[in-house]
Amino acid sequence: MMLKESPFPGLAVFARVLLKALAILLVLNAALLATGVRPIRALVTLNTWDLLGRGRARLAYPSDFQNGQLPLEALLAAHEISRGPKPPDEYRVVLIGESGIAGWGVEDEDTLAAQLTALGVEVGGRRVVAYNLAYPQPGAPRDALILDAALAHHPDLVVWFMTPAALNDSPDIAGANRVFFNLNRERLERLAAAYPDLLGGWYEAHAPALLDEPGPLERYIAIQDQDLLPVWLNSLFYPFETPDLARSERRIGSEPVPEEARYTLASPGFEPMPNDTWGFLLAGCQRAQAAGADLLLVNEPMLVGGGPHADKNYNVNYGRDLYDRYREALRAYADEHGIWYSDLWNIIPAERFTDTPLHMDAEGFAMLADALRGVITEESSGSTCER
Amino acid sequence: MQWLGWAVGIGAFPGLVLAAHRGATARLRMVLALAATAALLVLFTGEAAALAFFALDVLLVVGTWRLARTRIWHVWIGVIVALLVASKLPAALAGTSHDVSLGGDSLVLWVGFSYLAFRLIHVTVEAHAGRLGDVTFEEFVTYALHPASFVAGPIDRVRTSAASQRREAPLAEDLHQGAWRILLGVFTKFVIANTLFAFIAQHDMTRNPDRPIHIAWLWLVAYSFYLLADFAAYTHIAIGFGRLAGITLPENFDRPYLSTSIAQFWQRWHITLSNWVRDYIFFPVARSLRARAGNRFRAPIQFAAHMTTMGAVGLWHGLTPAFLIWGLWHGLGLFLHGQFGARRPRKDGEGAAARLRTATSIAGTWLFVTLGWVFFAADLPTALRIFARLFGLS
Repeated sequence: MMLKESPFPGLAVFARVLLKALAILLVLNAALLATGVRPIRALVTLNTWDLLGRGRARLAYPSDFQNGQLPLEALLAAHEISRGPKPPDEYRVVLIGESGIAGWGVEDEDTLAAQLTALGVEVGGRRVVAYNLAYPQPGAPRDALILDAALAHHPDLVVWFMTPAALNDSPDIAGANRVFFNLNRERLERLAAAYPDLLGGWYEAHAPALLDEPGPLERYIAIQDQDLLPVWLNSLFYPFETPDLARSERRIGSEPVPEEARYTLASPGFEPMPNDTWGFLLAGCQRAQAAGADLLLVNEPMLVGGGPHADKNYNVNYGRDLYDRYREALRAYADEHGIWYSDLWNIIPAERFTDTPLHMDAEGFAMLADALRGVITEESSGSTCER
Repeated sequence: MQWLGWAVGIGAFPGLVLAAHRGATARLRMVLALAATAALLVLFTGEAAALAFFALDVLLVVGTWRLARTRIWHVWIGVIVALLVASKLPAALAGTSHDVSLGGDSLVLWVGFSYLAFRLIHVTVEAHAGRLGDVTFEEFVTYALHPASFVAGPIDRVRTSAASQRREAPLAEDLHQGAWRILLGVFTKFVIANTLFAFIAQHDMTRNPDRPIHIAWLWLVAYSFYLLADFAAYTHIAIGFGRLAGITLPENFDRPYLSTSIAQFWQRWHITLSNWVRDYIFFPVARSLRARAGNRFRAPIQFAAHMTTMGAVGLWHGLTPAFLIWGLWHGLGLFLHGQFGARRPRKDGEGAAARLRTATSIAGTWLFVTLGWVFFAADLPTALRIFARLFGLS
């Protein structure tokens, strides 16, 4: 019960208590600053998935991809990849990409990661277990941060799915992941500092607009990030909720390709190829290599649509001029830098796509899993990640 | 305009504290209270137009003092009620009456009029009945427009307020107790209420009533405690600030969710509003009906008085069918309790059985009140969908 009358005998005692509380707070703040501990950041890595005996099959992302997010450490702490140490007989594969790979609209057991694991293939005598770390919205810089964080969980192979939009260098595409960058600011700054020749251009061009400037006192306050607390409290209910999978009955492959595509070679941010954003590919490759993991770059499958405008555009997203140029440039970039690369752009039939040219149904993911199995087990692996 | 609010406030707030404790005249305290309230309104709304409405408030206060003792006192009450309805209309027409983010007042720039109207009606009735005693004009104005209680109550009584304005309290004690209550209020608002609000906002059933049933119940429980924490926090701050400024405001909450009956709940929740509607709606309606029908129709009279009173309380929160249903929900509860619960012989005692009875009564009362909040949170169609969801009917 709340005390409506002050429990202190007088104003002097009350003032002394407040002063002492302030002094303790200042000492605690100084100690936390000196040790680099950010208590709220540490707190939000706690989750309730262990109560169910499993972790999340995917990273948690809010419906509008901007609000209500948590830092990567917290997202990974709730993910099944964090459930215990890596078994010795496991060949750990981490999948990175956007919503098409995350499994938009399909159940956890129908995603690419789940179906690849279910194939039961082995690499070097170890069984392949795939983890879904894809995150909606395109953005190679954002994916590179996820890759960086995932390396703490000892993957043997990182499979990074790529689309033209993910390599777009315009402020709009970078800005779509603004909240993500601010929540993982230190990781971004660390990565940019570690690869100045590859990422310096992108960082100088985008960071000032993307990263919020801390207030004058903020750098002296250890107990910050209070905005994460309600998001974290909310996330404690995730294991007991039925997620909205955003299912769609639409079959975009049965619709004619529109006359105007969203992105063409004239759209801002694509040319030149490679641009500053492409530096994250090589930085990611080198980062994985340094951590003992291999990297496989995959050109993500997409809808190749039909209709009267199919000779101009592949689908509602991409004009042929842009996409063909991108494919050519991506292969050349991978060859130049020794990145293990596989182009699976057209292996999925049109009828397997749902509401967008990248979202597949369960059968589409089964086909992709089979194709990926072939790449992983039959092709010679080994990115050299040369500068 | 914010700078003007700060400029006036920086002078008026400490001035009011000092004036209240250093024997300043009632007139000086009144002027400082008016200046502080004006500054508060500008800071609260960020709009200079709020001052125009405050000027109207001052006119109404002066009008009440002039007209309350005249023969047209009842016409004056009609004017105040009409203005109260008018102040609620814009939100009702815009469909924002249930939007808690607006701070609860219907016409945003006319902040505090809901409470001021009840104070003015109270003073008009008491003045007409010759029960104002020796309350002076300055004390009345300070009572009606004091910054501590202007925005969100509590609804004090004028004679109690005048007595507290005259008391000589040591500055140190008032600073101590006032600061403590403000501290409690700030903690309750920013730590408890805002955290609950974050949960409510992310699982907002009023925007999507088709969420899973367990989320619907979690949302409702969080909403129930959010309302208590949010309102109790404002009351803590109001009482604390009043104490700093030398007046003792009445308590508004007394552990309402531990009530063992709906009647007890309304003696513990928004106490000053409950007392006001009891004195100025329930008793007059019940007396009037009894005078016409005699004691033969006791139950129908009780029913009509409860439903009228609580219906008015509902509409006071906003002119929507859902608020009306919320009020009638409580009116029905009070009537049924009066007819059946209160007549049952009380089984006092100790031991496990008594404790179980008490716990059951508390849980039942809380559940009744909390289910009623559904109609407080959303417009009627949405509230009915949420209700159906809670009981697995949709």
